[in-house]
Amino acid sequence: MTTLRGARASWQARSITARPLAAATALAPRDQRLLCYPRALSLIEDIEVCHERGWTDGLPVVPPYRPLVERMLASIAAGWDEVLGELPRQNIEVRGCEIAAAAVMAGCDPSYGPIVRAIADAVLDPAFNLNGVAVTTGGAAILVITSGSCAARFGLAHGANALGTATRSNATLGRFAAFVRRSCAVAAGSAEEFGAVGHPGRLGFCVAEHPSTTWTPYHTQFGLEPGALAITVHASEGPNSINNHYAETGEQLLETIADCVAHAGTTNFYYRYSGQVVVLAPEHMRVIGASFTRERAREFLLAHAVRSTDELCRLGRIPRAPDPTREVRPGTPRSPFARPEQLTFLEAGGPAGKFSAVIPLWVGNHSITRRVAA
Amino acid sequence: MTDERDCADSSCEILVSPIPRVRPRPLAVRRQPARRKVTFVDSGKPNSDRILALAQRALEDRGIEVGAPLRKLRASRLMDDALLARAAADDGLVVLAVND
Repeated sequence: MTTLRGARASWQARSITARPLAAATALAPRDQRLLCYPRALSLIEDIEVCHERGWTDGLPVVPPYRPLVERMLASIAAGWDEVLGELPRQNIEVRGCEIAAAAVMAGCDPSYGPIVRAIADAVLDPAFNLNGVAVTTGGAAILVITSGSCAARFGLAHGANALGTATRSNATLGRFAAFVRRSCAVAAGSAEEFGAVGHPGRLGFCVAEHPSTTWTPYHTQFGLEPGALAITVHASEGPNSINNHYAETGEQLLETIADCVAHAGTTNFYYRYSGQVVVLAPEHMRVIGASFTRERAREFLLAHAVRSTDELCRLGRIPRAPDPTREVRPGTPRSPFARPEQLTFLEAGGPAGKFSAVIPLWVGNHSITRRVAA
Repeated sequence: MTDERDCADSSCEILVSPIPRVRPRPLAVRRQPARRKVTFVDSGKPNSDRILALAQRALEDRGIEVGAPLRKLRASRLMDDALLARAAADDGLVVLAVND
């Protein structure tokens, strides 16, 4: 059997005979973003080139051939050299061609253009702190939540295995966001990532809310009207599953969720800057929704998701010494949240199974919500 | 600049890099400190105080002055402009990323 390496050597030998490689090199443009390769190279060889240049996440990519990038560029309504964002203090300008190349590599269909553009704009918003997301020891991933009628329009899966579907749009849009992190903040910037453990969502983490929800759509928690198409990007830790098959009331379920929200190891007990996303699958949503509005459910969780400050000090989770930036108050209960809006609810998941999930968010940035062009 | 569209060799494919280029701006760099002094930037991480105290003691034992630390309120955020200006104005050696 001919190995890839063998095939490549064979091709090189032929090409040197037929046409010196130097001739092709001489035709290469001066712009170093553009690499010329003889068409005789197979698709597999081009994927290998992407691996070798450090453009991939370890999985094969669609090689960002210029015609594909130009097609994607049109779909995201951006110009080739149009600056779509800048990484502060690093002198890195991110242009349309680079965003389009990342979307092509991730495998996005050009019809995803409006949502690709919204994700790019959100991730490149300075308040998202993309540099911090990339390098934190917290190992954060970019979580993309789509809401409104996005699921119907872009074919996003929102039912079974909602947090890890095998659907093209979820998989590639989540991967696209991760590519922007890798190419803009890491490859062009820090050169390294430092997450202590990280989580699998760093390869791609895109979750779609049900198109029809018991409460109003997810993005209404960020000030948009219910009818909007929207995406929200968070920097997230890994999701925690919540199992409760015997609860008969919303209170029982919310108490169970509160215990997970406020487990001793949750990062936010220390900083209290960030939030958590509570993902309610239909069976739990039905029970909770029967007796709680979203506002009341949030109030209930805020009241119950607390631990003793003294216990957290004993465990070493928060400083014992007075520290004005950490607001440690001995003898009082401590919430992982400083503000109610840090806790949000998402309706997603398959119709069968009494499960929900809690996704803790990273503590060093703001979540960003953007409209998706209709 | 050569327009890549001029590459008329029909046997070529062009791959577009997804990696943005850094566009350096002019900056002034002092190649060595004006005096034997070290100033730490403290990111406020839990082990920060201990590390900085040990480092300060080690430097002072060697006769090196240690300035008051510049404190970032949030480890994960960029230094704000005021703190960055203070670091830039320091005439000693400013050491970043000393803890975690």
